[in-house]
Amino acid sequence: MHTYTGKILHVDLSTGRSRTDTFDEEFAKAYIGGTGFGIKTLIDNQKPGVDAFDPENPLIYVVGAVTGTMIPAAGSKFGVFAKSPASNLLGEAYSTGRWGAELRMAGYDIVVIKGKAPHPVYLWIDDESVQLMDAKHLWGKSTWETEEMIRNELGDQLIRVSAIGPGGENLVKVACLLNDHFRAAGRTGLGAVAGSKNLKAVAVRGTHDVSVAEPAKLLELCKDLYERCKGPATTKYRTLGTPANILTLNAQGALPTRNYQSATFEGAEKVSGEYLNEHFVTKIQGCTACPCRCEHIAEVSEGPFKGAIARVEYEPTMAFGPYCGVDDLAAVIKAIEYCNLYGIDAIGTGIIVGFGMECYEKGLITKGDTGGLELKFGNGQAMVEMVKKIALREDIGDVLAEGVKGASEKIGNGSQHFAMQIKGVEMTGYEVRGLKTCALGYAVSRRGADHQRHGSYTWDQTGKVDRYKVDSGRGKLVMGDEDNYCIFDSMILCKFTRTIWKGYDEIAKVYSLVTGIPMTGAELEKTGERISNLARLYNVREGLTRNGDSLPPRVLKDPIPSGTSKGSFVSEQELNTLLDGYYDARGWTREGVPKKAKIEELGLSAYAQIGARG
Amino acid sequence: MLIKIKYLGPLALMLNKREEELEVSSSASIDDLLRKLSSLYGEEFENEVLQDGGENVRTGTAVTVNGKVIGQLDGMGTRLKMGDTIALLPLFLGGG
Amino acid sequence: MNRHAFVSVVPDKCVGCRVCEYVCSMEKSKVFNPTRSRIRVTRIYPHTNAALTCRLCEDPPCVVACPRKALKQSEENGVILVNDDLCNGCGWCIEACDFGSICLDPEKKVVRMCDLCAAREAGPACVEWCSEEALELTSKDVLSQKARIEAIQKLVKAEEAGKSG
Repeated sequence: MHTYTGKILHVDLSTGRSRTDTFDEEFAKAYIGGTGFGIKTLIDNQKPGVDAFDPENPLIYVVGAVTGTMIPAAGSKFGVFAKSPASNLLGEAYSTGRWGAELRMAGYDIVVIKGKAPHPVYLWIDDESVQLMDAKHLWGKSTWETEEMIRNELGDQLIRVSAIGPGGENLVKVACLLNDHFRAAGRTGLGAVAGSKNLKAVAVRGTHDVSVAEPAKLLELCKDLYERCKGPATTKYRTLGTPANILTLNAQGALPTRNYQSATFEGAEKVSGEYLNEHFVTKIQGCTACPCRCEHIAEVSEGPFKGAIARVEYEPTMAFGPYCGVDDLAAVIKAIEYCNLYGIDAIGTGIIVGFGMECYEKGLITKGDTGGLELKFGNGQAMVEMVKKIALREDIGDVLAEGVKGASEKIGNGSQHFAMQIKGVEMTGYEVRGLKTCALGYAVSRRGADHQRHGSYTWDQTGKVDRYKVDSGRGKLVMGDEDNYCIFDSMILCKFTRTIWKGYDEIAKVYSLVTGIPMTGAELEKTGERISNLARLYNVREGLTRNGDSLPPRVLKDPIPSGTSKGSFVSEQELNTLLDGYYDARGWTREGVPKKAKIEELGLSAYAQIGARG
Repeated sequence: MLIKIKYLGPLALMLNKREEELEVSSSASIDDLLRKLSSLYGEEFENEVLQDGGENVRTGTAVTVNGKVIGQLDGMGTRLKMGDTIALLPLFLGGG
Repeated sequence: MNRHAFVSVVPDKCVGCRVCEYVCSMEKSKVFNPTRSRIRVTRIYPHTNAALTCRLCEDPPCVVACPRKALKQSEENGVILVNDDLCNGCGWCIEACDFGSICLDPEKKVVRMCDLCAAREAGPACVEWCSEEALELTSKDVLSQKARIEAIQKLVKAEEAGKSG
């Protein structure tokens, strides 16, 4: 096989032992890499029903089919999988930067980490050498410090480090794994899984060749792809970056504001991508082998948050800006920086702070709970301080660290109504009350509230469907989007380049040129469907029912109060119409369980016992 | 008749303005307007906003009339009225 | 020597994407492996990036350092030539190079550095592929010309600002 190493590294932190397993071309073709590899490895290596913090929960790193090559924007992507402590269902997150390519060059496509180390350790993969290193001196350190210290003590500045911060150590439900300073496997609390294993970091250095099946043809195609990456398909990412989405969504009445109380923000201009670029962006740099370069690095040069530095994208800007009623980008950048250093997901943490603010304004928590902070919407200073408290589980931070679902259960008093979560995972930056195809995508997303498993807001935003109405045909649209994204998340291709690709046929061609494994567009499409179904089987096995494919109470009951989308919300009946249409399109029962026929059609008979009878 | 156009994101950067007022014929449609803007602002603008030889709005851009996206009106054939506000919005795939 | 062309980076333009490393290793070794690349990117956080390769030094330290006289500088274009029979991969030249521009071939155990893609019709692959146009084939002569022009332009701007201000 080309590109694929065919090797799986198993590490047992309890015994300190490691071993290597292999996979063949058949496995590679059936699951591609990335999410396919991740979900397959998880379902096969995790005992059903295991608790997320149980040593038996495997923490799995995977690379994509084309990781380590120069396919644009795909050079270094990797995924992390485990049972999520937030949802107790599929935990799944992606990152990029420089780490993914390094793992492949070290000689592994999959790393499975089980057990719990008797004291803090980091895993050090140096080509064939696999060691567990003492990390007692790193415990408590920020993610950045951890990376620096590991590089210094191992004497190699090119070591890539995926690390947790105090957030992961403290088992915060939105803890993440950070690498290369500004990139994170952010969502579903996988940093806490690592923390529960006493695993501070995974450090990797690889020097082996990554070969491709047809170098000359691949280079030729890359030339063309690179040209497309410099065209209109990617202009917005290369210029203003994704924060420019703030004004777009605001104009469309779709910008989650003040804990989802409304869909437009009066301070949007001051937290817009335009404002950010004009006042704060100091450099735009790139991930490995990407011609787009879209990492907008922002720095605060004056004021109380002077010196703060972070990579700023739309979602964290939304989460710490409009979502918390804050119109001060300096505070937003500082909050993101704290999330990076402490190792907690910027999106989830922003949503949690917004929830905390609504609780405070409603008198459900007080200054005594917040350690003296006036946790009101718009208070940027309090917002920033609360980020730290959540990571360190200080004061009410200890409750908020459980995520909005867990926090609202503890705080009670009706707070569950405005705990914006699905399956225990915090909502993200689209006002689904006025984007109803997108609402379905969120409701059924396999890792909880998420826009990245479907991207179905496109139908709503472009008006190809009526965003304020539902019909049973939306299910087919979301299914198509999900299966398509399964391929993007397996290859792993950056979704910012989504529109440069000419469909499944072209992606299949790239797959074959790189790996040497024959693949057609139709086979690829089927593979996307296979992966979607395997994910569902895993979730069903772990207890997911139709009830879990839901929307937060506020979405189901409170109409958007003002603006373009005034009056809109998703009723229970509408949700049911959407779900029924989706399950039917998928070939699942009305309870959301894959039917036997579908399981067999996709070659998943090994998991038939999880599926529906008959 | 006079209509207002709002530019967001990279278009605003490209044209160095966030909005402007334009004279169009009383029977103008979105199609007419976009063609007029393309001839005013050139190929780079046209490539950002249109595709398929000018037949459709480019995937990745949304055009709204008074806040309603044209896909839910009459598409490219949507007729304009005096005082209408047309917005050209960049759409993003993800961003965190 | 002043006019010998070499690959130089404009650090402000470099975004650290490392495409140059990937095309160099592909061009030279038909695989993707940045450790085989003769041009290497350094990123110093938060946002300093620069790709470096052989700068065709005058009186090259690598040539001087080699204990086996395995390295020689070409009179024709200033490129460093390696005698594979004499080189034993000791790495003394790698240490001597002020720019970290020499690497070791992992199989043959001989050193490699930029040869300006002599065998390539379109010239250096890295220069062609850099999406930011941060790499250029330039010479010390041209670089010093640019520096002088920039310096004078700054002076003129300052004078004009002084006059009008």
